[in-house]
Amino acid sequence: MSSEDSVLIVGGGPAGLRAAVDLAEMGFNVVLVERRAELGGAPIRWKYHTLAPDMRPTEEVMSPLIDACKSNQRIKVYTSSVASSFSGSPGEFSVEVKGADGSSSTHRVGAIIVATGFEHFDARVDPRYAYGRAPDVIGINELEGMLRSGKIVRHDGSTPRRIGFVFCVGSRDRSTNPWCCTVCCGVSIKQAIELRRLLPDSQIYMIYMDIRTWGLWEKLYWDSMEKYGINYIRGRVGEVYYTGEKLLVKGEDTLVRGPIEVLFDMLVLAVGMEPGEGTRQAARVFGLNLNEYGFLKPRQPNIHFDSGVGGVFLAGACVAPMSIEEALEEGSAAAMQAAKVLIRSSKQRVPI
Amino acid sequence: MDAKYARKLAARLNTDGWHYGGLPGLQWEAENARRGEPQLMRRIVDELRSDVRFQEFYHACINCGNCTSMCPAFRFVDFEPRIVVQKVMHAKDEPELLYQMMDEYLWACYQCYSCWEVCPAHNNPGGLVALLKEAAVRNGLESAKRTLEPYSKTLFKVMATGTQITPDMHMLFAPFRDWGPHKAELVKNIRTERQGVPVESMWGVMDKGWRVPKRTMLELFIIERESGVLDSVRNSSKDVVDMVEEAGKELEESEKNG
Amino acid sequence: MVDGPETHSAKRDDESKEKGKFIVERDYIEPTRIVEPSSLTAEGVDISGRWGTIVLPRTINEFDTSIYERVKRLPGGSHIANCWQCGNCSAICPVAHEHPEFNPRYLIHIVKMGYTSEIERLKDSVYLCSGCGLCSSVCPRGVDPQHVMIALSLAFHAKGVL
Repeated sequence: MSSEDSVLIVGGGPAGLRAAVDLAEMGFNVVLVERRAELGGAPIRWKYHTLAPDMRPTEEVMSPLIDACKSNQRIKVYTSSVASSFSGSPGEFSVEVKGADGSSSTHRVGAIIVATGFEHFDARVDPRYAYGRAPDVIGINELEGMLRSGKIVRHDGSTPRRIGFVFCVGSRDRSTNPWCCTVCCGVSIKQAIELRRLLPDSQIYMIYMDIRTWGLWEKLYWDSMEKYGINYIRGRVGEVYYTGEKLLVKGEDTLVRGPIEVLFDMLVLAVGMEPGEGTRQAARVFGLNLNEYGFLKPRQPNIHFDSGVGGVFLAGACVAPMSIEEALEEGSAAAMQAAKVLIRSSKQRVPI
Repeated sequence: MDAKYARKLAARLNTDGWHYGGLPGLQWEAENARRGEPQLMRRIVDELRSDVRFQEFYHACINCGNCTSMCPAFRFVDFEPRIVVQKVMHAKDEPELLYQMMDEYLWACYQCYSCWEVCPAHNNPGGLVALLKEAAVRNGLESAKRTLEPYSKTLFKVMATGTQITPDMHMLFAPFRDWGPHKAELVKNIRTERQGVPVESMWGVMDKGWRVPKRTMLELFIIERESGVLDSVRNSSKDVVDMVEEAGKELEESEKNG
Repeated sequence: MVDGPETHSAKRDDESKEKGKFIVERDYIEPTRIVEPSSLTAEGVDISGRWGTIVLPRTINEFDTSIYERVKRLPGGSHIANCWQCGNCSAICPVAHEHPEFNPRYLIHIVKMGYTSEIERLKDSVYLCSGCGLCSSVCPRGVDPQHVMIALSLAFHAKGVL
């Protein structure tokens, strides 16, 4: 493999897979490095059931990409591996890839795409929600797995009747993460609708500060009220107690100025997104800038793919919290930039 | 017809061009404030915003209600730290908003600062309440006088000795005599009353009181005089300040004479 | 040893003003939630009155959706579920500008959530609606607040709130 027709992609989530498939289809060789044992990123790891806004099964979106990566001759996949060192200049980088099993290989590539994605916020960091201490307090990531199995049960096997969604857990809070994760509103509402379909007798209350179902996702919000009778309480949860049977949720309904202390059978925390260890590791290896929040910092805030390091491009939720549809687009955009570098450098070598 | 209606609405605006109708069921509050003195109301806003602590206590409020969900006063009284911060936020244009809280509203706060701990924007609603209470005391508002009156002895103890628990407040014959409103009438059967409604923290206090050294009291007096504490309280509790000054002068005399 | 406090709710205004009048923030506490035990004795001494005054918490512990369910079935109230509390109705309402205690957005919310104590407090205000229909003309979600108000009054009546 020569460096002028190869690209190294760090991260095998939606953005990285999309970039890999696009580049392979354009005729370039791809080295895809994934830190974890399987490809697919967060949607596969957390067993996302469906994707907002139109509840398309996750497999329909992710499987074609994963299968293409596995079957395409031009894509070489290294799972349980990380890029450990890097040298050279755009068009002729040399990158060392180290596996968890101690294996090591060096690749000569023309461009690099960093798509290390995000981690779901660990709600144990914010003790007010009793996550990890009380049963039946789960994250939206865990609820996806439940929805996939079709069995929504409490810890004792009973079916929950009153379910609460708590928005902005680990988001929009200076004590944890001050940014908005942008997708949790839409995802939570999607899940609430799915819950109502599975459990028509359930009562669902969404405890929110603002509903940010941007763009066409707004339809989810409207449908949840008009077709599914999901209730919205404007406020933020102060504390959650486990009574031994149920969860006592303490909060304020800011539209009424009323204190509410209501028992719920199950509480779903709309946990936010934050940069993960993979992002920090990639930043160290490739010398990328991190912004004040720990996301990779593009050279200009409105052009995500431009990392500021020549020949290294960014894509997906390692730059900012975003939905899967946006991450896929960013993967394609970064692939386009990488292709540009490869074509330019090969032209320099073979003058027309 | 439209123009007439518009004129009618416009007539209600304050000098800064704002009108606040009041929260549902609390219009009397807004009405009260409208009768307030405009210069005083403006002064209170300016004092608050120029206080050195204001920059730390107030950033911006996104109305999430986290502070209120933790507020112990909110469980019993229609008092909300969120409303306090919101009114502080809007009072720049509408000084009435602060003034209307000073009558009764603010005094519901226990100053426990639970709100401060949970605020995602790191505002300090309890601190803002404290600043506003200070403004009420400094400006000698009726509400401050009325609220402080039953606690004059506590106030004196705090200002003169730096502590509100002193042995003589726990004498068997006159415990808490003027601590809180209408205590005098309770003193008759105080032991039985205590047993009826026990207050755990009081057990064991009787024999653990301490004496504050004269030197400390003198230092405290000088600090209070020089830093303007005495002047700030004078408007609402003149008697207490007079007593503190008298006691302070005595201490100074005895210090001079060795 | 101590007889428990006996709740008695105030019916008359003048009586309710007397209760807990020493509380500084008295006007922010509903009279019905101030309890002065009528008989509280300890060791044979009557200590009823101010000493034993209790303010009952005002927390909402239950969503009582019975009125909401009824309103949804009434002709004018069939779209109440659409409401997202933007406040357009209250903003344009000519009555609300004169009488802020009438607030269509607020009424819809407390009924949707089933806050019975708030409904009890503000139930009469629903009759302040003049039926001008401005709210229904501006509602972005087609809630039709004008007719929701009529449905509310019918539902309150059927529920026996009024």
